[in-house]
Amino acid sequence: MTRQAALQRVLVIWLIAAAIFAVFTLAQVLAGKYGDDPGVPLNWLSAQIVPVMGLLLAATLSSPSANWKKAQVTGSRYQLALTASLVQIIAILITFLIEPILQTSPFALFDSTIVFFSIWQGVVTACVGGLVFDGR
Amino acid sequence: MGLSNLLRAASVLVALVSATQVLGQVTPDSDDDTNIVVNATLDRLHALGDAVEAYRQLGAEWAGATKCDLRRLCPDEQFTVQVSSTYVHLLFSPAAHTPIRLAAFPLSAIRTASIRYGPLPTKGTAEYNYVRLQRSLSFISAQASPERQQLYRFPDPNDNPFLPWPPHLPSSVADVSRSFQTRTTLGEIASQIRSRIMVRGYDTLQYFSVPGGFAMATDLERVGRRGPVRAGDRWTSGKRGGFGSLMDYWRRLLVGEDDRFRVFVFIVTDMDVQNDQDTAKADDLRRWKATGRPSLSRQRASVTALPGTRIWLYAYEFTASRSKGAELIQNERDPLRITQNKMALGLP
Repeated sequence: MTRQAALQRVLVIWLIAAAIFAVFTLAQVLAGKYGDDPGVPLNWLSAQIVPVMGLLLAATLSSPSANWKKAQVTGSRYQLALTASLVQIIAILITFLIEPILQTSPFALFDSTIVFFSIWQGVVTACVGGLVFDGR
Repeated sequence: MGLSNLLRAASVLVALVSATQVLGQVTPDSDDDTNIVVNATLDRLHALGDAVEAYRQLGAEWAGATKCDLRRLCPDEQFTVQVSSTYVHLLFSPAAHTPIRLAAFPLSAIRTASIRYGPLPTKGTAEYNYVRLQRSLSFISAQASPERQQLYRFPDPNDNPFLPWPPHLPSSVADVSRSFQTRTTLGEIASQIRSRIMVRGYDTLQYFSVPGGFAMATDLERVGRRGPVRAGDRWTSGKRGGFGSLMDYWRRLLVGEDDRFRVFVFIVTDMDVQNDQDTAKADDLRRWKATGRPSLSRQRASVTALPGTRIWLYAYEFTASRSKGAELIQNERDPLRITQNKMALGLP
């Protein structure tokens, strides 16, 4: 797989996940799940998505050399970026899905998970960055 | 005359017979404001409620009146006697809480009563009115029956605490007197209500004094919107978690929990109850829970219910706000019908 194709695959995964999470959270907000504090879940979600999405979009919109595009991706870097991204996306999904059955309020859940997610977001950004900047 | 006696006497005044009947005359220069009370209230036994209503009607007059705070003359800080140009207002002022209006009645009665008691001090308006008040009330209180004095007495350390009066605007209200025998003692009435609702699980009750009777409040109860709640969740108010069906899970995921909560308050009194315009707040629930007593005081329980005593069922229904600082707010959107509430209590 070429570097360009690998990058596009990771970008598509993140775009689909971000769109689903955004629509879902918006639906919750409109249904009144977060009362007068709709900013809390939106802040939490954007902190998980915006950094890596920004990096991926910047890489896509830039113009790397033809050699970089056609070169084969380093397998381990691609696997690492893909795995870290999927772990992050699944963790976000589980947080949303598990919240209704917990006795903890969604606000408390966001508060208590934000630190772990932020740290993991740093790992994901580093892994995706390794893929983007490899050989440029 | 001590302050407690003074206040007892004040409560008796507003609950007693007409100033005309007691004193044999009415001041000829009574103004219209005074007439609200003299004509509509003091010649009736439901005086306290009407006096409070008259106080409300006098809002504009009150704002413009020369207020005279006699607290400095009163050794007990919990009470304030305020005298305006035409009215005497009695306020119960617990520390750090908004004063509760207890009664208002016209100065004309005091002016009339003062005729019977020699010269009054002239050194200050406040003291002058205070002495008038004392003298008038000491005379009038002697005319009251012991039972009425007992039931219209101001908060007493040996008695149940006062339910904030008039009661907050309920979600629904009903007269349930026909379900109980009211020509008996207040203790017996309380016992009838308790035994009727205990079988429905309402085993924790808070008792309060109200003018002319008593009130009993149930604990905050969770009521599921879709089917009954688990027994373990019934008396809790936080998020309960879990789900019953896929549809229930989906609703919780998208909308969140939307349980109802309710508190029943039985008010037993001979007064025509007029509600406050404010709805109940979460703070009120906490205060009821903190101040109510688990039984009716011996002195109040032993008193025979006054003629015309009725039993009112007040239902206060709440929902939990879904915001970060979640709190209970009175449900004005889709409260339960009173018949549904009565069914829950086993009342016809």
